[in-house]
Amino acid sequence: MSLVVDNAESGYDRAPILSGVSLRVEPGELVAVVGSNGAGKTTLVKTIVGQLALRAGDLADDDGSFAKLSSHRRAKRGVVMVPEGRKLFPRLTVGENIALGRRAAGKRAGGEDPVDALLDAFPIVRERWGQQANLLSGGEQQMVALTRAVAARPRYLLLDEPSLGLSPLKTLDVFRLIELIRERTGAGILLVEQMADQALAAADRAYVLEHGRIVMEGDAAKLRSSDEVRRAYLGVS
Amino acid sequence: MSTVEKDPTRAGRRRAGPGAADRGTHVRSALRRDVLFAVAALAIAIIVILPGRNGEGTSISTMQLVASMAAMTVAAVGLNLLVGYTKLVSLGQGGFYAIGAYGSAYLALDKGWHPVLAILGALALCGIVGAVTAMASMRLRGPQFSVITLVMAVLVERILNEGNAFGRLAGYPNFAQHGTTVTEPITFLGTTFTPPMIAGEVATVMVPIVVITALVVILSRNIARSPWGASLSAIGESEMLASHLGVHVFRRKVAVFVLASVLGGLGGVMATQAFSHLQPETFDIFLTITIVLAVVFGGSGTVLGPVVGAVAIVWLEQSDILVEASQWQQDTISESWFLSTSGLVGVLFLLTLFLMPRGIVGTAGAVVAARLHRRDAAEADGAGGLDETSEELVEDLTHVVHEKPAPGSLLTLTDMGKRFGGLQAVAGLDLSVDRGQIHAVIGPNGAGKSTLANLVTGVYKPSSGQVTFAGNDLTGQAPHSVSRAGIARTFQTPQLFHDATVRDNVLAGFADTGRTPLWAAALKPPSRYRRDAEMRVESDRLLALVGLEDVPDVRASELPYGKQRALEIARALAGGPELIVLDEPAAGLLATETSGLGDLLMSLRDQGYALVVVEHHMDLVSRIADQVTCMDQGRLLARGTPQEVLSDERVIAAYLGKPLDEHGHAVETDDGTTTTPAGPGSTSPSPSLSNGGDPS
Amino acid sequence: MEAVVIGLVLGGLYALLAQSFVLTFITTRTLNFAVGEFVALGAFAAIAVSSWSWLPTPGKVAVGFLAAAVVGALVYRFLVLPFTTQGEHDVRWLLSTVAVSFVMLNLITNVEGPSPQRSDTARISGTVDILGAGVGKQQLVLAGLAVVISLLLIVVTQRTSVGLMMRAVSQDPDTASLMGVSPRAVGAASYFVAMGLAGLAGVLYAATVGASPVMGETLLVASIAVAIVGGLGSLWGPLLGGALYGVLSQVASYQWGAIWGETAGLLLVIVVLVAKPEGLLGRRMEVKL
Repeated sequence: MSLVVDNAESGYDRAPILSGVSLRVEPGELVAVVGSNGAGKTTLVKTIVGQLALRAGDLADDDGSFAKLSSHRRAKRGVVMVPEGRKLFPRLTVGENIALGRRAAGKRAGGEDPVDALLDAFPIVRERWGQQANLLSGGEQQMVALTRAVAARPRYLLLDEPSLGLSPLKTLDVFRLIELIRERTGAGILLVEQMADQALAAADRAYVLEHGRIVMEGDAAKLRSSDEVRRAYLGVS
Repeated sequence: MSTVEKDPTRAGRRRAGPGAADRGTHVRSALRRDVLFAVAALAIAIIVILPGRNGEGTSISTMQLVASMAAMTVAAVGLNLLVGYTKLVSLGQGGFYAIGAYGSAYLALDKGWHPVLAILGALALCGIVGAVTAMASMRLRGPQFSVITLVMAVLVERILNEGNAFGRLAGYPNFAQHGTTVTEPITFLGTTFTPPMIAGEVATVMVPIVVITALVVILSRNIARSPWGASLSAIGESEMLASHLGVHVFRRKVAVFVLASVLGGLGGVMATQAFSHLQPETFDIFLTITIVLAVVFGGSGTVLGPVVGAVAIVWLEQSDILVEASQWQQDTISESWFLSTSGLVGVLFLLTLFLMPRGIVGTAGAVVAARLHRRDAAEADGAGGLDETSEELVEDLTHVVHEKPAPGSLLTLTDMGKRFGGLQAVAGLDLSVDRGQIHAVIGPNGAGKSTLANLVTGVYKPSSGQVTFAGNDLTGQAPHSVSRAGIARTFQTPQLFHDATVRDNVLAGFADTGRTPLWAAALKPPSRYRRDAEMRVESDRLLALVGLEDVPDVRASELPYGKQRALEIARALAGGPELIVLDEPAAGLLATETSGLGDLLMSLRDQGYALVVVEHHMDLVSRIADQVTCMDQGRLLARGTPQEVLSDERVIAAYLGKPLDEHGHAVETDDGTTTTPAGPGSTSPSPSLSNGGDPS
Repeated sequence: MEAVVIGLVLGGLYALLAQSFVLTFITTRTLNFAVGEFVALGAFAAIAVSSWSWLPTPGKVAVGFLAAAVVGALVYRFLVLPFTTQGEHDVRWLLSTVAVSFVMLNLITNVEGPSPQRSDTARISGTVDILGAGVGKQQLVLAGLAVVISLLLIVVTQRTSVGLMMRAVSQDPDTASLMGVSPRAVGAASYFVAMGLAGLAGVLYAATVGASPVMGETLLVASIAVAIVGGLGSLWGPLLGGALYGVLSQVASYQWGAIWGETAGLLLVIVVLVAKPEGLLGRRMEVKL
């Protein structure tokens, strides 16, 4: 019962970026992946959701390997990503964006809808319901993107740089929302962040990625105070 | 325009001494190859018309076949410049073919022009229509471009079909209007050029037809292999890349479209001269598609591809093979469910796309190249590249002074601002870079660093502020002007010509790519040979400088990532810039490669180049940078030496993701931790990175 | 005035076919240059079942729709999709659909012969007088159908969950697949519907001019022109484009002769593309760097 990345290797056309990456996310757990720019963090999440081809190794969730499935089938299994830069559908309304998230939920829908809890906690999303997504501010867009992902009833939720381009205060909001999502959905969350300090403060466990390899892993609080981490995300060695 | 036009040959002249002998060798071997090709092309042209030398009746059909092949070849060679090199799929070549054919006949017969003038007039008309079409379709790519060219061809077809002046379905010329169904043969300088029609008459027109075809092939080869040709490939790869190489994309696209159109028209002129009569239904969409197929089937983007393709397609269409194939289907499969000529051509097209996307010549070339370079490619994976920059060369180069460093700063940005809709990507930024200085720009993701690089290189026009380079105002200049003024760049993901060799990639970087005039590319005067040789010697030097001297003939796509980056730097240097903007040059590099990159950048600085390096790799930054600018949220966060900036509390906080309020003070986070407050502009020199700013 | 009315009615036929270009372009960024042959395919399929007296007329029309629709989906899967894999600038699909057009046209010609065949399916005879112009009821039905189908498509895309998926794929196929939507399935479905519409147009058009292999080829350029003028990204585009193109070409040919009709229409395309490359109602594609 966990999301497992086993010895994964992948990359873009000509440049291999990840090599031999293994990690695991338990349900209900918040796991951070930190590392400097270009370490392969985005490549990692894109590989897990199937936007980049896995060249070697395996990917599995509670129902077994999904390495050979196409991207939309992985989403339907409950492996859901919030991509870097939010990627809302710009000319759909907030409500329509969230409705699309619900599509991926399929059979997993039912029971208490965690979306309601999110909307209650962050009413701004509800206020913007009928607005076109590209008219929202960056912080609001990130709220909608997270809500959309929750509407898909994720079993495992992958967040790629949710704080990117946000002001510090908005970043705090986003981290509060992530905490709430963890509480309400019970999903395992893989949080990829350049803002390592906050990510490590929020996470239970963490991995440090450097040059496409996992160089450290362990308790987030311990990693947060270690010199190695500073080296990894500041790119100093 | 206030840009400084620099002498493109300067880079070559810098090292006139040691390369002189090499250059002589290069000139001689290039000359030998070109003469050999020209002689072979002309010889083949003459040999194919030898059967008709006595005008025997039996040779007429052969001569007509040769004429059809020649006309198709010329049209296909023209189209190849568009489809193959510039990657613009035109469906209009048949239209130009028709304008050439009908135009030359109409001007001579109805307007009474001298036939030679009529031909020139028709070609000029093709050129004008081509120029108008090109300008109309300038902002279009992909399907819209194809549609507008198709519309043009259909328009021409309809005019021929329905315009009374062209006799409609009676053809041109016709009895009712002209009292004859054939055009007069041309008499020029006392010679009459008879078409292959009547037994016993020597088809003299075949001589100019095949000779002109051979010349077109020779000249198109010259063009394809010249910097002018390289600029077409650059546009095909990415217009943005092309303009960074100093190519005026608008003008070059119009020029290549006009050239292709004129060649299409020339094909039509040949058809008129060879067959003396025109029927509108032979100039339909099928003709246009056949020309496209000739290019794709033979091998688009290769010199000989359109020739082989045109000859093969015409032969296929006029031989009995397709007829037999459809007869065979009727015998064995069904009386009614079978494909005849046009259907079989369609199937051939689909098969080509599936099985042989590079066409006959392209596929054969790839096979041969794979044989030849398997060893080289293996080497490319091994030693060399950035991690093994030749010490000796770096040493050597440090003595070559790029330019007397003039006092004052080379590049100055004043109060730069860039707004995208509601997003202020860069705001109020000042920056200045001196010759012989490395200026690093750092900052967390989304801080506006790449926007800054794009503002300097002219990709974006600034919303406010000014760019001054070497005393000239470059604000709002297009990338090609910026490039010509002496600013080169590399990209976050290397933008290379993946199918071209390593050397050809470097050669495309020379200023010649944007400047060689078409006539010089086609005719190849002696100066062109000398300059080619100079560029070759210089490219060898640049390849050695970045550690790629062992793999000049390997295809760029076969290089490992780190070497692709090295190659891109070599190409940037080829343009003889004074300033190079490098956008994350260390991204994706291995540690050894990054260190080699650092050596290289420092040696460039020592030669007097100014470098702006957008980078995340603090290691590299602290090692090489003279000045560091840290950006956050589009604004300047800190500036100073690497030591100062990297120990600045706000910089650390920005990178670590510790929130700060607008005064630069740390904000309370929900776990109760705070960062040490630091005032604006304050730099704390003492704390090292490992203990700076961590509260726990 | 007569020219205007006839132009509007004629524009309806072009608009119907233009709609099939818009539909495939929105979801797959491809155009099927073989649309003309799907028109003929639909017409001949309906003729093939015209002797089945047990099948009511709507059933025969449906056969024309389905025949073209199924072949359309197959063409997408096997001859379009494989040639779209190399990114935005990959236009090999353009060549492959042109090749498909050749193969289908040739095959239909060999099977059915080149001369037009009478088609009685869904024939409505008689004319109506509109503002002094005698308009065939059949053409009127075609034009009305174009409007109805356009409105239907707009309602479906704006109001239903299928439409939501289509709009999502159109705006960002990669992110759509993160929402469990398969861009390929949506693409195949839109080819199914788009080519079905072409087949449908073929059945109705054949009832007036007869079914011939080249019946669609002559409509191809005009309907691409209409789609481009209106804007390839907008389902309203074909209606506006069809009206403009139809009226302009009819008026021009009344005034100056037939040849100028088409010339004026095609010049309109050039003018629009120069002034507004994305079409009158199209949306400018966001530039990505």
